[in-house]
Amino acid sequence: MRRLFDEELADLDTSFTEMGEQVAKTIQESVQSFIKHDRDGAHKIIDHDYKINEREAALEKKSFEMIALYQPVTTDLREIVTILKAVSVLERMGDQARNIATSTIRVKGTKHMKAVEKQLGEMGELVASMVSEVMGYYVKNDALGAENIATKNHQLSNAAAQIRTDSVNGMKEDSELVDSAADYLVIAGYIKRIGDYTTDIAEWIVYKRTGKIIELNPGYNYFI
Amino acid sequence: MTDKSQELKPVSDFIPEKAPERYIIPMEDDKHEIALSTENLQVSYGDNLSLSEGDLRFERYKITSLIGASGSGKSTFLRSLNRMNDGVANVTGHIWYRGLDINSKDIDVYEMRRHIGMVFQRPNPFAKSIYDNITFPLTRRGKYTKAQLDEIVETTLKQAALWDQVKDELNKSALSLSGGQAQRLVIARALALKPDILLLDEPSSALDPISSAKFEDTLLELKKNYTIIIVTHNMQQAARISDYTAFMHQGKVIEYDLTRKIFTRPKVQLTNDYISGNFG
Amino acid sequence: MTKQSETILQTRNVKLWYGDKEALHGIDLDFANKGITALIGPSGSCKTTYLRALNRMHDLEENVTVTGSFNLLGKDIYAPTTDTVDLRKRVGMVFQQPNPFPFSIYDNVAFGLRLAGVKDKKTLDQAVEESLKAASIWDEVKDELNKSALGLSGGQQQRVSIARVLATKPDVLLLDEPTSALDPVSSHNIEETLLSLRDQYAMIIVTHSLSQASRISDKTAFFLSGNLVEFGDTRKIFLEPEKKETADYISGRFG
Repeated sequence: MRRLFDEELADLDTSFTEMGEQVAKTIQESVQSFIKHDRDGAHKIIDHDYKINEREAALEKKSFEMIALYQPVTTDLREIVTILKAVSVLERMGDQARNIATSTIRVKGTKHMKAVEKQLGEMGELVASMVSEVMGYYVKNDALGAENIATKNHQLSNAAAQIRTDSVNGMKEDSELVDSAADYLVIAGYIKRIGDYTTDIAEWIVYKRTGKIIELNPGYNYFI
Repeated sequence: MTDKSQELKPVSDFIPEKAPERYIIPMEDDKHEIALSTENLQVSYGDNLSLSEGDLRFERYKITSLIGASGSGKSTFLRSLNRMNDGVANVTGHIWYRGLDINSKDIDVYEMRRHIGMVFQRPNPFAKSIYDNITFPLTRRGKYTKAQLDEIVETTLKQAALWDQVKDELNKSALSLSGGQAQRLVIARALALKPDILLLDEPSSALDPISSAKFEDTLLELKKNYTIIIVTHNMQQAARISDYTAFMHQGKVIEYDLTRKIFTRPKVQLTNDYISGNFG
Repeated sequence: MTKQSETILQTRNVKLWYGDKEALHGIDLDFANKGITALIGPSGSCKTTYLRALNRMHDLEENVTVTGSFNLLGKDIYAPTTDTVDLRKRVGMVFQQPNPFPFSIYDNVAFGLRLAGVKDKKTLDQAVEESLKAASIWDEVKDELNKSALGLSGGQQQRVSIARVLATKPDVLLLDEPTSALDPVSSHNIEETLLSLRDQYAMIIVTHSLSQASRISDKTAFFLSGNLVEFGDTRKIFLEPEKKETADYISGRFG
C-alpha cells in the first residue's frame, strides 16, 4: 500500500512542479512579447493556455482520487492539499499571462515609453523568477525560503507603484502616450497579481511543512 | 499603501527546531476536568517490563483512543486501568480516580469495576435471555424490585441503541443476536452497573462496517454521560470518534494530543509514520 | 495495473440456495488473470458465500444447492468430473484466521505438493523457498524452517498460509478477510504481499475494510442481499459509483 501510494504521490509531485515551470515560462514570455510588441508570440501564448488548464484539471482529478482511495493523513494529506490548492493558483497565474498576451494583441498606442517598458520587462523577469523560486521551495519543503517570496513581492509592489507614477506623469505630459500608458498600468497590475499569487503558494508551502495556515501577503488590495 | 508586514509572525515561529521524540499533552489547566489519570504506571510480567512511562490524563465526558501496533502495550495499559491485570502482571504506580489511588491494595476491586467498566473485543453475552444478561450482574450484588430492573433494562438498552430492535423479545436468548447487536448488549450490561468510565478493548473489530458505524454512533451518544477510553486498531475509527488520541509504541506513550492534531500535524515523526501507514 | 489481461474465471447466473431459501440471486462476474478484485458489502450480502462457491467449499455443507456456470479457463468448476482436490489447488483459499497446521513451517508449505505426490527433496526445497519468497516471509523464517509454524506471529502465520497456497501454483487465489484478525502493521505486510503478487495472480478478496479495498484492489464488486449491485474499476466505484446503494455504502451512510 505505501509503495503504491508513495509512487503515485511522487508522480503527482513531479507533475505539479512541471506545471510550475511551464507557468513561469509562460509568464516570462508573455511580458517579453508585450514589451517587444510581438503579436505572434502573444497568439502562441493564448493558443497554449489550454495546456495549463488541462494540467490543472488532471492534477485535481489525481488528487481527488488519491484522497478517496488512500484516505491520507498528516504530511501526506498536507502535501496533496497543498498541490490541490496551488494548482488553482498556478492556473490563475496562467490566466494573467493570457491577459497580458491579449493586451499585447489589442495594443493601440504608437508612441511608447521606453523606460517604463524596460521596467515592465524587469518586473516580468522578477515575477517569473519568483514563480520558479517558490516551486523550488516546494520541492525542498523549505518554509523559511517561502518567506523570501513575501519580501520579493514587496519589491514587485514597489516597482508597480513606480510604473503607475511614471505612466500617469507621461499621460499628463503627452496625450499621445495615453493609449500605451493605460496599457502599462494594466500590465503592471497583472504582474502584481501574479506576485500576490506566488505568496499564496508560499503560504501553502508553510502549511505543508508545519500544518499551520498563515498569512504572508500583508494585504495590498490595490489593483496597482 | 499600508504595510502590515510588521504584524505578521515570522514563519520560523511555526517550525520547531527539532522534532521531539515524545510529546504528551499536559492537560493541566483548570479547563479540563480529569476523570482518570495515571502516574508512573509500570506493568511487568516476570522480569519482563512491558509497559513503562506514560502519565496520561483522561478528560471527563470525552472519548480517548489508544492506538498502536500489536505489542505496543495499549491493551495492557487499558486493562491495568481497572485492574484486569491483577494476578497476571505486576502493576506498579498510581491510577488516580476521584482522589483515590485505585491501584493501591486496599481498594475493593469489584466495587471499583462498577465505576470503571470494561467491554471486550468479542461480544460475550451470557447464555441467558437478553433481559437476564443485563439484570444478572445486578441481582447478584443487590436487591432490586422488578419495576426497578425493568426500568434499568429499558434505559440501558436505549442508551446502547438496541431497545427498538429487541424490546418485543427480551426473553429471547442473547446468543441469537447478531454480532453488532451482541456488542451493544454487552455495552448495555456494562452500563447497568452505572459506571463512570467505560473501557473498550477493540470493541468493533469483530463487526462489519454497518454494525461498526451504528456502534460508533452509540459511543458518540454515550459520551454525553460517560468518559470513554477505547483501544482500537482502526485508525479511521479513532479519527472519527475520539477527542484525544494516544499513540503507543513498545510500551511507551509516544504522543498524546487532541485527535485532530494527531491526524493533521503530529509532533513526533514516529506517530506521523504510523498513522500514515508507513510501517517500513 | 493489468490492462491487456484475459479472463481467467467467469461466472454466469450463479445462484445458491440454503434449503429452499435462495441466498445468491444470479451473479455474473468476470475475473482477469491478473490483479486484485475486492468483494465488498455488509454482513448478509453473501459476498463470502459467493467466494466460497468459487472453489466448491459448499460441497461440504449439507442442504446447499449451487447453480449457474463457473468457467475456469474453459472448464466447468462444477462439472461432475472435476476433482475437487485438484480444483482447490488451482483455486486456493486463504482464510480469515491464519490456520497453519501444527507442524514445521517447511512442512506447512510443502503440504499441498506432498499431497499431490511430489517426493523429490530438491523440488520441494525449491518450491518452499520460492513460495515463502513470493509471500514475502522468506527473510523472516529462512533460518528456522523446521520450527513449528504455530510459534509465528499472526501476521507471519497468515503469510505462511499464503505461501502454502502459492506452493501448488494456483490460477486463482481466494482470500476471505485475510487481515481482519491482524493488527495494522501485520495487515500492512499482507497488503504489500498481495500487491507484489498482483502481476502474477488473479486474486479475489472479501474484505470488510473499505479502505483496504480502495487501497489495493484493481476492481471492486459491491454485493447487497445476495445481489451484485455494481462491479467496476475500483477508482470508478470509489469516486463515481453509478448506483446510489454503492455510494451510500462506501461513504458509510447506512440509513
